[in-house]
Amino acid sequence: MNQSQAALLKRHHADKRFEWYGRLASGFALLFLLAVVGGLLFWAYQGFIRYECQCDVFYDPAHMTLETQHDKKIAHFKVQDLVQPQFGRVRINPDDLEQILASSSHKILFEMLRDQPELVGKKQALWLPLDEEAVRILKKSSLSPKLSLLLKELKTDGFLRTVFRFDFFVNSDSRDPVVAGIWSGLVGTFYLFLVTLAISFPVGVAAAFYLEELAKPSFISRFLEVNIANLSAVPSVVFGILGLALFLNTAHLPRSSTLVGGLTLSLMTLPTMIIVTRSAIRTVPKSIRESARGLGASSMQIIVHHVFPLALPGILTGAMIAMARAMGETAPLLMIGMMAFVATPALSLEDPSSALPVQIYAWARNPEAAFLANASAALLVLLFFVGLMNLCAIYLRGKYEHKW
Amino acid sequence: MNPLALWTVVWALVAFILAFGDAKRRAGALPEGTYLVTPPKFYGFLSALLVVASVFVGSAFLLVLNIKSLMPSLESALFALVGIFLSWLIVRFEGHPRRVIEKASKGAFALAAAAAVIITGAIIFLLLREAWAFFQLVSLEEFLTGTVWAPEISLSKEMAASGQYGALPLFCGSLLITLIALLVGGPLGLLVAIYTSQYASVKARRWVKPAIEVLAGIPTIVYGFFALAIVGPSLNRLGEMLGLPIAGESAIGAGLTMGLMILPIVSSLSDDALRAVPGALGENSLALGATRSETIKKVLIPAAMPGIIAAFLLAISRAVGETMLALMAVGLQANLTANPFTYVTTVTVQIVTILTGDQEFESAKTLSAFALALFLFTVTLFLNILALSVARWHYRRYDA
Repeated sequence: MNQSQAALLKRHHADKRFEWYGRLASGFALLFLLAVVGGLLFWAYQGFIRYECQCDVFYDPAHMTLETQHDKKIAHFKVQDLVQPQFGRVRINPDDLEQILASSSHKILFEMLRDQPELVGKKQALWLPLDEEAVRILKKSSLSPKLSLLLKELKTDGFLRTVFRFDFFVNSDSRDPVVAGIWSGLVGTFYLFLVTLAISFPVGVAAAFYLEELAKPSFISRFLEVNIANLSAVPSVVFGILGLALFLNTAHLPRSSTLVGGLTLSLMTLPTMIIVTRSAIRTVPKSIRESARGLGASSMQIIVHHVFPLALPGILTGAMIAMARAMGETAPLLMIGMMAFVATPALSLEDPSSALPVQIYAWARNPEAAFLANASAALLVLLFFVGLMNLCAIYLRGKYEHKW
Repeated sequence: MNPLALWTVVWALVAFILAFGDAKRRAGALPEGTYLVTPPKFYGFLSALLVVASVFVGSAFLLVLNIKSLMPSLESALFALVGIFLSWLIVRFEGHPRRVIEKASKGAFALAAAAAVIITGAIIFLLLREAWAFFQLVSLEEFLTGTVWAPEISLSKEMAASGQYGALPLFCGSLLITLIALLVGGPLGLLVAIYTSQYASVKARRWVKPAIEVLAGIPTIVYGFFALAIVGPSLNRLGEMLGLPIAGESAIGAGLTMGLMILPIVSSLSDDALRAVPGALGENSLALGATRSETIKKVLIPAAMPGIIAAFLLAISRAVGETMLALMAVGLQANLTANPFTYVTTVTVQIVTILTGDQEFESAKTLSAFALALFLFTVTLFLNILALSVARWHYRRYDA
């Protein structure tokens, strides 16, 4: 093999190597996507299930003090006094029982007694949720060998079960990770979606039509274009500050409400909305406008009768993607105070509310590990909705797209 | 629903029906083969619009004059009559309700377009005003060059000096994380763009591109969670194995995740830039005997350089302004360091923490967040304008 052939071979090897760099980089990016989804699924699994323990509950009047408030009997008791210590062949003393059962067990029994006062003095078999600490001990016995032994025996005797947490979707936020749910966050996000869509969609579409169809090319329209392009890249936290100063400190709208959150998100979404609408309008061919003009239509009639209906699928696609982005946004909502602990779902736009991403952030920051699992389960729900909106957009585009 | 709004709707409907009926009657009375220039419904729209407008203006007037509203039904009826009279005037003398409505809609559309400018103006005005107030309390020099960031809760303006507002550690923290992100996301993104635009088969491209776009569509809080729950602890464990102390909330963890976050931005924009290079350039190079990699490195990338630079600039701008990821992956303690394995904090994190805590307005602590936001806004705006002008120059070059 002569020298030039060797040089050529070397160059070809370099070429192949370079191609593989590209392949590896792409593979790495896809791997990362898988890692995000996989990691989330792994964590979310723990958030979606709950360990429960079958307990014999004896509503013993001797361990309760009954009190009448507003014609309702209220019982004061300790969970470990009512739950019978004997679990088959295992006996668990009350102190351990207190550690094993979640603090929300009290609420469950309390509501049981409130709704069915005739239960007093009777026995009942109930599945009560296990404390998150106990779940951790079950998985890692080194944390507490004694409790771990008890729990393992309970498990082999069939007193423990894992259930899918349907209440995760219908419960609101709680201090107890075992019963905390995302309902209030979902409601808040739904309101935010409505407000943001109701404001940013009409204004964005009108602005886009003005820039594309009505404005004459001039210094002002040029300035508007540059302005919108730059505004779309302003960090979301700056929009949060604007919302804080404008809507809370100047207009004195109710803090933490979805109204203010939606307004703030609308400010943020507006530039994106204008940009996607403009690109949808541009796909409508000039000949349509010219034929309409030739038949005597005014520019407003051209827009309303021809360009808008033809561009609508594209506009909706873009709007969906813009809304999906807005619904995952967290920082502006934190700035206007939607961070507060909200245990009941908002009933109106002016009620203090939570939102799904904010709830996720609050849970992820909580030092209890069980909340981290909850956060990832909620993240999965958020991703599901955001993905659904994007899929809708892709479907719309595929179904109604005109090929000119 | 408030009674005034309810009555307004009622009067608007009444006006619509009156005007529409009248125009319809006139249209019917016209001789065969002739018709009104404007369809009857526009007469209805015009009077309904004017009724709403005059009730709105009238009530605003009352509000400004501080006159208590006694009977919403009566007042709104009065204003509605004015609106109907106006619409009669217009029909009488101008004659084309459609033209009036179109002009009004054009005005409304222009106003919508102006909203973007108003928002920008509001941001700039607000940030400048509050930052100005801040720089009355703390000198600009101290803010830009001070090395200690310790905003204290100041109970009064006199005590404002007790906090220390040297923002240099924050700037450095943001810079450090952005730099790590760029080192990770930049080359990887560029390689992905080269692969998808040059090497990938049509089929591979059809799969890889959407997958990377999915990555770009993921909410940033997901990346934040990933950094917090997976990257942070893994790095911590790795550090223990190597005997290297890596904090749980280190700059490297946030930077790595942010690098993966900006990867799709770099790759999709660079992909566009590479594909905008005219095919003849690459084909000529191949015809002269260059291999594909040589063509890419020596012809295509130099030709697409402005577009690639724009992609990097936009990615930097995103990384600097990123809030949620930083908030979840980075600590709150300021630290002036270049060591990526320790804790740092960023500008965005400080803005959010200051403004979400208990705040009294006009305290130096609250105002400092606005000064930081002004800095953030200026930097990202500068980067964006630079990126847009570089990209525009690039695309115009090949737009023949």
